[in-house]
Amino acid sequence: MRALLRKADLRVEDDPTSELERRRRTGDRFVLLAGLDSERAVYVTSGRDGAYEPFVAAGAHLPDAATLFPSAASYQAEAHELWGTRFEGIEFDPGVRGTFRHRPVPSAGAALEADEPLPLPAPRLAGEPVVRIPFGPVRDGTVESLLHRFHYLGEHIVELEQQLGYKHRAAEGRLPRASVEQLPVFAERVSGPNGVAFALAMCHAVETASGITVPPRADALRAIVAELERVYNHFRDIGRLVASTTLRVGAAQAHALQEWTQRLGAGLTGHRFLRGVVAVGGVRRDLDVSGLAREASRLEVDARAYFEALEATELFVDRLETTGMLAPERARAWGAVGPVGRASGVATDARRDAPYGAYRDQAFRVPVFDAGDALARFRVRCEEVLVSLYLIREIAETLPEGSLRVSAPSSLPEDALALGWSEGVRGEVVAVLVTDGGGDLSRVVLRGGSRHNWPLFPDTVHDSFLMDYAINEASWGLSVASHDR
Amino acid sequence: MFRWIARGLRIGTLTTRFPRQAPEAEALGSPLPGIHPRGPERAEALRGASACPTGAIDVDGDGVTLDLGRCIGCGLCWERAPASFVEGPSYGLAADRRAGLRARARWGVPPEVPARWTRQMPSLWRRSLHVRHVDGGSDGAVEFELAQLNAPQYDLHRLGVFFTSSPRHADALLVTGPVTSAMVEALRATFEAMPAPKLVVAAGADAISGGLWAGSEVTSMGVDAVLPVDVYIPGSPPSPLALIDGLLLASGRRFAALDRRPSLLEVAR
Repeated sequence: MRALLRKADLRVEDDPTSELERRRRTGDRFVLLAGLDSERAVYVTSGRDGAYEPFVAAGAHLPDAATLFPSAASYQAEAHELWGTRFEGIEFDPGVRGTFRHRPVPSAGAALEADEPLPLPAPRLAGEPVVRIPFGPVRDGTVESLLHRFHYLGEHIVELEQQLGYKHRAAEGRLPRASVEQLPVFAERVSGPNGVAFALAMCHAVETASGITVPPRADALRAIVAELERVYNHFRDIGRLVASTTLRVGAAQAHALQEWTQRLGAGLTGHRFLRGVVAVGGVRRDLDVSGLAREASRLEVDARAYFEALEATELFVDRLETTGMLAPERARAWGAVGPVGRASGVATDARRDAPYGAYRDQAFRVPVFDAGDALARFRVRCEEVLVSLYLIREIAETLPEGSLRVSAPSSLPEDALALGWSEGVRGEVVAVLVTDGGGDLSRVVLRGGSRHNWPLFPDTVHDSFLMDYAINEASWGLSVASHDR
Repeated sequence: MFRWIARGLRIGTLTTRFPRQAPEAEALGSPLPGIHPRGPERAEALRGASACPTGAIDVDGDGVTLDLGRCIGCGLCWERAPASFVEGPSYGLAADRRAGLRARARWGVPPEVPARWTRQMPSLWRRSLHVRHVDGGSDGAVEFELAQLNAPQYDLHRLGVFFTSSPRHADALLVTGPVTSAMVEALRATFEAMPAPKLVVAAGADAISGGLWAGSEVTSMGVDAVLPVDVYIPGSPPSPLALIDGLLLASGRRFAALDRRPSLLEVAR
């Protein structure tokens, strides 16, 4: 079920160009590309049956996958900036700021700010009538750091320049030095509010690599915390969206719902962000789920009433309709993931398409809308909250007995490449582990949904104005920490 | 609009009595470790120290030092060494100097609780403290908790603490994350734009010491390396209660429920 490629399979694909073309023809969805070093990269696509298929390509210049899969472009830039990988026909200007490298590569031992930051890429539009307004990296409110530069022509934003990477912590560089036991601890903190999904993807990859089967009770408990994570994040994103339409009382009530959910999670796991549950081989401790089904039902009643009140507020619905349109064709070509993709007709959900753990035994609805506007994204989240609460109830009521954890290996197989995934709040989370000849981790890739969706965002701002931008950005609800890593 | 007013009235008041009273049990969560009230046990404490991903536990010849400024609350220490470390409190730990976050215990002797507050803040900010937040590369969770301070359950405004957009209006700069090389300039510029007198608050283990990312080639070892820090709020992320505690200490206000830090004897089960 999960892709485990042992020694024989870490072999390099002889003809990556025709392999990519074949996958394009069969309608595969592009998932990720990551540099392993200056001459190797791993490609992952997902087939029509939902299975994730990785392959490794090597060469001084790798084929340009962006001609077949447009979303590959930003991954190729990342691989070049961070791992020195080169691609046929693409010249990266070392004198211009990249997404992740804002300064020239520091010499060993040099101070952090030894070099001046590189200049931003020259704007495509310039001249007298174009007004440029920078917004960031320090933005309004208690939000994450990024830079958006608006190019105004009259009343319209004709272009939005997006500069990310302010939060780049080189997390993927640190991960291979963690012990197997510490891997989920690190993964939980790469993107804090998506911690459970990140830790799950990481653990799935380790478990695949070492051939462990997780006990059913642990699978069920993992699913419960993963769904609780989805619920509080969705309340938070809905709250930000409501606040962006200046409906203050409505926003406060979303905050209250989020707080109740986080408190429910803290009562269950001890941690407001549900950390310290997911471990390699199972879960770290048992959770007392008596009363959880009742709490979930209560939350569902409150959530339903709240969503109905929002739907009945014309002022709110009108502001979202047709705002921040992401056309279904574009979303499909890009392979947009998570609630953003599902609001534009891309019906992917790893829990259903490539099921893992307790989701194998669950039948549930994956809400999909075709409108592609902020309202559709809002409705996807509302419905997902209800589906998640249903799943929590179902799983808590039929929780299997049994052990919580099988012992994890202290080392991994040699020369292996293993894949793990989970459906996070903002789209699928994919982990790729690569080990060297001694069984030590040589590379860890952790890609969340926000990493995939952020490069798609600027297009939806074009030809709108600033009030729409605020609503549009809130409706995407993407995490910067998850992108920058 | 009428519908929303009616809904609000129906829901009623949700706000915590903290900090005038101890917080409700359900508001607790995201704990940090403490040294066992009976004192650490040598062989076991070493096991706990080796499990720690950030090196927050330092074992020497006489005993153990636990640095909450580096601790990310992963719980591996109290799982591996339950006779030396316990699940401790999640709030009431903010300090005005780095040493106030270090607990020390000799083998078999109850830990010494460090003095966390040694400085008298000016009375200027007691009734109103305006805070500018800068994200220096956090994992995003602290921003969730900061936003939750505006939730009805916490309602930070009632305590005279406000988040402001303009650094010109700000009294305190609250920094999250280890400060990445890309954010150093923006952070400095924000600090310089603030009028004196001003405070710097480092919230979370990443901001205090670099946390998990300390030693990476693109992050500094916490805010200290860039700006002078006045208040440290440990946690990963600090819970809303811990943030309220730290912000009130920054504003020079003291409350009985905060002054009495929950003792380790109370939290050890």
